[in-house]
Amino acid sequence: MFYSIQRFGCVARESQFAQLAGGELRYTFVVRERPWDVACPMATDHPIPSEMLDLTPLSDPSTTPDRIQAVHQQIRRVLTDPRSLAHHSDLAPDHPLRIAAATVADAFEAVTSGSVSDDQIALAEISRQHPLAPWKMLIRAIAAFYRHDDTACEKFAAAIDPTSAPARIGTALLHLLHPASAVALSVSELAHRTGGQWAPLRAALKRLDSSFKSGRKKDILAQIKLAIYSCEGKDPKLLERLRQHIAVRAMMAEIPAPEVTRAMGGVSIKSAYFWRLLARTTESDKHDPLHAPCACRYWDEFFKHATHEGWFASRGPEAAAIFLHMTDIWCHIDPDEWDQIVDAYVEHFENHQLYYEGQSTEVRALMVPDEDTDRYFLSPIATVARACAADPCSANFARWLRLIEKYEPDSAEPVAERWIEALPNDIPPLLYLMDAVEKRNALQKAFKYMERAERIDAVNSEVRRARLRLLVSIAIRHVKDRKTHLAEKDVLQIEALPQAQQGMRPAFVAALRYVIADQNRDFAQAEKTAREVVRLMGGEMPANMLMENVAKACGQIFVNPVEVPKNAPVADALGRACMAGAEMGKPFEISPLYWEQIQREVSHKKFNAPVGPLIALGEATAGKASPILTYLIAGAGLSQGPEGQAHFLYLRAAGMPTWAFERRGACLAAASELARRARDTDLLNRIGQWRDDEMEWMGAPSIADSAPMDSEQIATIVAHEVRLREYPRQSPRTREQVCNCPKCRAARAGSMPPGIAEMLEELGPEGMADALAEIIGLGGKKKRRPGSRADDSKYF
Amino acid sequence: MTPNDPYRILGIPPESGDQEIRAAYLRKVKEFPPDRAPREFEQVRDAYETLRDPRARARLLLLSVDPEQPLSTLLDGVPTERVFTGPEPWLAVLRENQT
Repeated sequence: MFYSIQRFGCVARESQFAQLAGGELRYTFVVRERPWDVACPMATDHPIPSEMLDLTPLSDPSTTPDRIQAVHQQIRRVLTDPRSLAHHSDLAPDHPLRIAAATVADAFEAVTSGSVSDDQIALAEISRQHPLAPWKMLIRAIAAFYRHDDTACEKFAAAIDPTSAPARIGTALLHLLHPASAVALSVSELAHRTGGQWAPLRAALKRLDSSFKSGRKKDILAQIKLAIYSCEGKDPKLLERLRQHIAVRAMMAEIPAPEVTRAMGGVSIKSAYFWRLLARTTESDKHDPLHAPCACRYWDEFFKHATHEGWFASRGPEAAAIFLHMTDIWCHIDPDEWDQIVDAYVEHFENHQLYYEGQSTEVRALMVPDEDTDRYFLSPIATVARACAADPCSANFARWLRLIEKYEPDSAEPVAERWIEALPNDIPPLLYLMDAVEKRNALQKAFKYMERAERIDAVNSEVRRARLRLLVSIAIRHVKDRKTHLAEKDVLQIEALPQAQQGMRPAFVAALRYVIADQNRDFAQAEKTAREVVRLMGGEMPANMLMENVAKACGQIFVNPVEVPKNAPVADALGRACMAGAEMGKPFEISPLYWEQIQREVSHKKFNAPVGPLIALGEATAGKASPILTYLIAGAGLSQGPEGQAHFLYLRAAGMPTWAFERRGACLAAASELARRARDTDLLNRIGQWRDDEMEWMGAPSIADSAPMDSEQIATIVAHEVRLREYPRQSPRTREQVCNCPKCRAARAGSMPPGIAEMLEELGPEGMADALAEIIGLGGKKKRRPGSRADDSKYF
Repeated sequence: MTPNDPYRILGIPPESGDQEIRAAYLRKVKEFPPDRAPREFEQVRDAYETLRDPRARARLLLLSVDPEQPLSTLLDGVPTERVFTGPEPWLAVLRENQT
């Protein structure tokens, strides 16, 4: 572009004009005309050098105010340097505008050259209407920028007249605060010069992030070089961190290590920081079936290096946290797949010596030869055992015991014994051992464990329940062995306990007396105790149910001692009997003969039953082969009102099909919140344990990690569940959303042709789909073969 | 560190011990009392509850690394410089539009 400059008159070349609305003309060249025509103000798209401004009207006393205003507007729009206005020859040296321009120029130089005080940039003589007012705003914006007061900077920049020349610098300022990708060269240069030594590196790292996102290898390697170059000579620690992050990112992008090393100008240090980063990155890549063993291996390396570098001791909560984390990684995988994954890892495993190539002597000293590697990290039970060794606390031992009971039950008792050894005052392992030996009928040994627990904490509710339950077990055992004289003594001991007088326990004891009398063929006593049971249970039907179940527990054949009215409700009666049994620690099973009738009764809209027995009935069906019953009982309970809602919500979740995991989760969360509010730790523990057993592998967050629910949310869930009375069936719409839990997959596999079932089992649903797509020629997405991640050392 | 990092909320480095954690908590509670800044107080309290428990703190040590954090966050600890350049680079922005 060039400017046509004619200081003393010119002719407008009409072919270059564009007539705009309002008579305004736009010129492609800057043209000036004399006399100044205010009816045709000059408009320009770009600022012009200040010396080209015609300011003579400002020195002419005959100039009209309107004309002066127009010149001022012109100055606002086109002035690119106040210093030039300060020396403009059209104005006398003492002209107020020249003086003001000099002041503004001085302030601008000061604010861009160093810290300034507010007085230095006050510019009181520049009013809002002054032609240099935009420069005043700009100076304040720049001052705020250098004071790191971004809010003020943005405020002043926004206040600059957008039609003025300084507005462009205001826009550039906003870019400095909020960098954009596409900017003019001068703005980019300004950003570099004001950003200091770190600006190039910041920009390089942003570009490197973008290139990793793009996945283009050539681009990534080029940006790696630039980023390393920008970082060199600045901070050795930062450079090393950068190398480590790049190494891990490049590995995830499957760029071979030698190329990355070349681009970085050296290997990354395989320190604790590196291994932690690698472990965290690997464990988040859940598409790789080997992410679990690989991540655990890297965590093992982290543990080794971190203890060596002094991050923490080899024993303690930090060490235990690593091992527990490894356990968590495994527990988020379907347990049925553990063996397969471990086999694949071991088959493809190569040692990690390649990671240690090029490393310092100190780092290499921590390298363990493959043949000496302890592969404990391939077993969640081994990892949790290490956690207990590192940090022998109750929570860790409880976790170990729970896991081993689930997957290696034969080895559970030794774990409980180790728990007692480490923490002699803990009650749970004693109670566990008591239960375990009780199941083997070693009742005296069980009693000894119970007494040990009592010595530690006699008022512990679990211990008190345990004593009662054990005495009942012993009494039942004596009845089974036909040692009724001993059983009678046991019953006396039971009756002597204060807790045996509470709730429905007296009814249970009476039922036990009935069974003893019946075995002794003392029919008078039997009849008397049977009437007592009827009185205590509130009816013939529940009394009969209780006596029937107690007799069954004692191995006796039961003959109805009392006449039961026809069509007597079964659900309530059974509920009472179950409650009596539960209170004595002897849960009953509901015979399938009663299922249909219970289902009919609880599904009735007018069904109403006391909460305690209804809960007991639900508990008796939960976890058994009657989830529909549990579901319906829970629904009936929720319909009755707020009492027992926590229990019923838990039962609802327990009764729901596995694929309805969202509803299950919602019910559990609501149940937990209600139990928390009621301080019902028993229920909370049961919910937590059930959730861990049933849902942990699905990766659902723990109840403890979930945000607490408010009353409104709970009410919504309850209303929703009350409305959904029918047991959920998978709708046609959701039929494709197949549940992949072990039970459902096994069930599906069972209904397929054997060959297909085998392929499905081997490849999994996704692999199967790819294989089929290949067979029928649709192609398929490239899938990493199992084991490729285990062989990842080539990336280093 | 993420914005929700307990160390960041209490304004202390990750290697701080029990005493520094407690002192930082008391400082922050004075700055954000529950009646005047309930949300900030809750954040401070949650941060303190996490850090005072050695097991929770240990877990934080493992999980504080975010594998997906942008590389540019490596410069989070580096103070943002704003270097004085004199008027020329600023005025160059105007001059570029003239050409």
